[in-house]
Amino acid sequence: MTSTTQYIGKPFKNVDAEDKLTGATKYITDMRFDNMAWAYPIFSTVPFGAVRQIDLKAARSVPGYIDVILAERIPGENQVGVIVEDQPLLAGKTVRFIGDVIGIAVAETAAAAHRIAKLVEITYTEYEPYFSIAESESATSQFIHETNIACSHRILKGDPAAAFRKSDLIVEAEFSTGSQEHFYLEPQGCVAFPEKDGQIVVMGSLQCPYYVQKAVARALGRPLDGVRVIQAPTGGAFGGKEDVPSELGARVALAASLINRPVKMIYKRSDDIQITSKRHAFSMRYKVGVMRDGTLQAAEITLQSNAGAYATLSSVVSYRSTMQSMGPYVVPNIRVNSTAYYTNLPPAGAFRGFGSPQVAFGHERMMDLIADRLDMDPVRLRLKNVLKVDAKTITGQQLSASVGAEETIRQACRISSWETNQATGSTDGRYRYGQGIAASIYGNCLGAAGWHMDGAGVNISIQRDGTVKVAFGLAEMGQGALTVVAQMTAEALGIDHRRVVVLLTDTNSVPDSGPSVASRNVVMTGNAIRDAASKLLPILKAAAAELLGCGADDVTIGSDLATDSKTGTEVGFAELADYLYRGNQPTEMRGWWHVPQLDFDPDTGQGEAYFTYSYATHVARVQVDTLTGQVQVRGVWAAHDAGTVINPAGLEGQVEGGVAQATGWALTENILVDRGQIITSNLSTYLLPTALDAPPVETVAVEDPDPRGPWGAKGVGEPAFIPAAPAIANAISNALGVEVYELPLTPPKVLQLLEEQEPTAGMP
Amino acid sequence: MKYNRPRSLAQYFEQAGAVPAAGVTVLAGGTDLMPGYENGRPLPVHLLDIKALPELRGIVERDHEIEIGALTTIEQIRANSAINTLFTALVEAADQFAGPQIRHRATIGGNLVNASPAGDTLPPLYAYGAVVKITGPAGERTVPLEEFITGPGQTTLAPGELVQSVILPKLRHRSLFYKLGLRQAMAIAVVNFAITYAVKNGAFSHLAIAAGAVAPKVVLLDTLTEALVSRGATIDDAMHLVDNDISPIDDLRAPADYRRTVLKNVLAYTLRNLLGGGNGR
Amino acid sequence: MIYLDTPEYFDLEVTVNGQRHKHRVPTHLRLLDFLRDTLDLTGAKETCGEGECGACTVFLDGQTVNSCLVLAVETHGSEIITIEGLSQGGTLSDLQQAFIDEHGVQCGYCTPGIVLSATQLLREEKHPTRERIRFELAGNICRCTGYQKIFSAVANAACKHREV
Repeated sequence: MTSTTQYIGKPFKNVDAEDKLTGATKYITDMRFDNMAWAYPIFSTVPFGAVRQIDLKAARSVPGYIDVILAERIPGENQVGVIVEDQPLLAGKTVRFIGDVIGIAVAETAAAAHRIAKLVEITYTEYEPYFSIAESESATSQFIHETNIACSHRILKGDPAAAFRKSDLIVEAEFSTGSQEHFYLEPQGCVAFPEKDGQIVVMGSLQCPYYVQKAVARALGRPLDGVRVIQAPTGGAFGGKEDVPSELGARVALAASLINRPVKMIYKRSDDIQITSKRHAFSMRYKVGVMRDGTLQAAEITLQSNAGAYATLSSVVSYRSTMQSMGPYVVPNIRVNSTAYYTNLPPAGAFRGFGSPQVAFGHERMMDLIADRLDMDPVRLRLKNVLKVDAKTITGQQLSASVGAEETIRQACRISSWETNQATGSTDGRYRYGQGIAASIYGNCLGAAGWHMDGAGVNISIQRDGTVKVAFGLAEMGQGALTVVAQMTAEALGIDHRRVVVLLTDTNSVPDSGPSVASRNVVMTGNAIRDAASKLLPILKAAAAELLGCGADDVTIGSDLATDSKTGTEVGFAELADYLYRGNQPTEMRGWWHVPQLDFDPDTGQGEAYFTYSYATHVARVQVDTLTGQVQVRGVWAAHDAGTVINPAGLEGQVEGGVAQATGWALTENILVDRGQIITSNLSTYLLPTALDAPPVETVAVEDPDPRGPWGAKGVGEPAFIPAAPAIANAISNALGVEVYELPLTPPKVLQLLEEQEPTAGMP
Repeated sequence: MKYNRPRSLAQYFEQAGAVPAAGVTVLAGGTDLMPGYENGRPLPVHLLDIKALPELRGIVERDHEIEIGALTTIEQIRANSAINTLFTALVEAADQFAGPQIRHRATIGGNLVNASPAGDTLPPLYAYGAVVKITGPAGERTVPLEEFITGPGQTTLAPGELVQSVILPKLRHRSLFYKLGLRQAMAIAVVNFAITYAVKNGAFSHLAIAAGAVAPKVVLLDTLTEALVSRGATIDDAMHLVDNDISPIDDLRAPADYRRTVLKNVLAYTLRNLLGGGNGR
Repeated sequence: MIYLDTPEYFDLEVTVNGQRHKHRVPTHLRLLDFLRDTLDLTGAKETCGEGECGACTVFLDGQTVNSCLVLAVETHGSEIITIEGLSQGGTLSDLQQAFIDEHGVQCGYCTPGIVLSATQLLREEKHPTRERIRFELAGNICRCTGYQKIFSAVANAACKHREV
């Protein structure tokens, strides 16, 4: 935004790319420790039941056997639930999904630990399992927990019933969206080692070190001080390493403390897919009342999500989807009811977008359905209802600044030449082409439901030689956190970026900064950096004034120099740093920032749901093969309001990656389950987009700075994903002239849509 | 697991004969064997790596045929000029075969012996009327490919025998390959087919169609081609005859009905285009 | 990893990144595990273990292969280049530098495999089209970048070829 910045808003090369390109980066699976043992989870092979007997005879015969650890040997609390206390670290009596971990096999080699885990013979008394939302909802006894409802949220604003009566048109539809596997390329893994002083150190592939620290302390019955968590370079996470590494971390820590050796555990891919969290599958019912001119009057929305066997993060996912259920639009009268149901499937948890992509499919399909019924241009309908400054969200929150929603719609249309394109077909009729648009909203950071943990810190330390070490409390998992932290630190201190060294996260260095989720790193860490810099800059100026023989007020700092603005004399940063040390001046400062207090009433769902919002609009163009139902996404045009852009290259990278992931969710990534067993358990059956599937993406940033964000920045990591799938679905609908109500749209489903449209379609 | 890499067929027969046949597994490219072992399939007592057998290597062009050694990799097929000139469908199948790393390793012999109903090189080989040359302790024999593969993963290969090569009679007809996967690359075929054809006066004077992933093994759609070539049926009228030759099943990739529909849709479109109708729909 | 209670062993001789190695290895050891565990060359990663992702790509006698689909014993007498062997002497290749310049790296787990696949492509074709780049990288899954900046990196490196 400002032309005076040195680094902010300029493409900045990834600080950790070189080591990744030469193979030098050591991920957790690449690290070796002396005397290390290996662990592997022993997990339930039935979806719902009671453990009757555990026979270890065959397991003990495996060469290299060390131990099998069961629940009764947990010294602390057998509990790993992050919000709701419903999830044992090791299932003792009841197992609730295929993959529920019952014990830990420990051996001298990874292969032996894996073998032992498979040879432990467990007999069960099986219960009738619930897999679908409908099955779970209709249960009358033998619930998965005390009840089959994991959580619920609501919004009531205005008088929806009266507003529906006044509406010229009411449109109703039901939608469903499928689950999704993160498929971070690096599987889950952690190592724990006991230190001589009694501390347990856990290193792992993770995005929430403080969650792991708490989980380990809890399981081992220790104070937080007895547990140190260090983040290893992390090969992708996308939410999949939010809560799950707490389980791995606590299990390896338990094993390490019991056998008093370093213990490592790396999940095999097919087990990773079976055991760990997924995106929530949603069923949604939308009813929207609208005036003839397109003004939205009323909405009634029912959201149901499949939470799987444990609550994990379902309550905050459900909160977010509820608050964002009508997207970036004004709806004066609205009722939303959202419920997450336990089932005997792997727990659903955090996945990029966190409940937003599902409702974005709902509200953006609705906008197209309404536009169609009103015979109105879908862009005009969106512009008519879009949130602006001073407008109120569906939670009654008046937006004060940085509302770029409208501009994202306009810019996405501009760069995609929306106006001049229309649905067409190939001359022989085989292929049909269409375009679709989708707009979205994303509440930054944790919101009212998580305000109590929405603070984050940094520790900036100027070394004697002028290098600057930055410790921060959030995590690099591939998204470029280290890079933007370096960039923002260099900017805040006015120094050359090459001086800055950003450390991987360590719970010993920075206070609990909450989870690295909700696209919150730039906002939280950026503000914390500015806080620390505001304490360091006066010290630097005072020192520079002494060196330059001028008043501290005359000193300006920037471009790696301190300058006497009157005379133009300068002193370099390295010299300044050394001078600080020689003068015994403070050289290290902590920075902290927390989200402003939010006023929110959970009973009505009214108030400040999040402190600010990011907005995005995507346009997608597709080609549909009417003979096969195959869809090819020919391009996506993305406009993002993430406030001031810190690193344009990083933003583009996030958007391109988010669009590719969303393309997979929309078209090819189809989790198939047979009686609780995931049968699409590896890459040959669970189809990620390849280099030939991911669409080209053109990105434009709509920079509507947020006064509360660092340099005006907001988050972009998750917004990158959210509008892409509904834009693709809308494009398919546009190409074929059929309505689309579910994701994923695999070729058989698309062909079925065509056949339903005209009984002869698709036949020669 | 004992591992050996015989240097000649004679050495291979000696090593293979020294242990009970049930304990021996032959390793070529390994691209299908290895995932199985990784996923828990028991290892054999004796693994015989045949990659160093000179008798199974090379592509030889003769007057009336081309002989492709069993160890020829998919990438070598893509790169071979004689195959490129004469056997378009096979090259197209090789192009759409997995990704580069697999193509560098997977062999045509392995594709034959695996006898997957969805194997990409198989429909072209069926359509070309390929003959499999087998070598064993008792000598060589040749078997038409159609007889060689008896079911999914099943062949007439006897214990101790190896596929030495596959022989393609030189064809004066054009050919093409089609593959439908559930994504654009690295996909296992939901439907694939190869066609060899010749068109004279707006009709097929020759037509052979081999379709994969629609039956326990690759099938020749003879009922359809016979109607089109010998009885002068129209494509529209004849297309239902495909059902006589296929028996698709539901699996995790696609339902049987989908395979049936798509095969007919794309086949009809393709055949119409071959007849120069242009408007394939 | 493949497990056996009672492994048999094989005396393996292989050249890796220009260096001769002699090791007695279990016959069921995968090349990937040999490189990672025996030689501590951890640049090749395991992601799927079934040859679908390309994260374990290495050069085997000049051609890229998935090292999870090759037994170590199969490489007896062969020459292997891993990502660690690509930038020996500490200088990045033009291609590696292009990945930095074009922002082609995010989490980095797929990166070594993709760099090797792209290296193979640029050896075969100095100036590949974007379509060819996409085609030749289809055996390498990336979950972070959406591939576009990877294509740009390869195209950028190919441009440098032109200048030479």
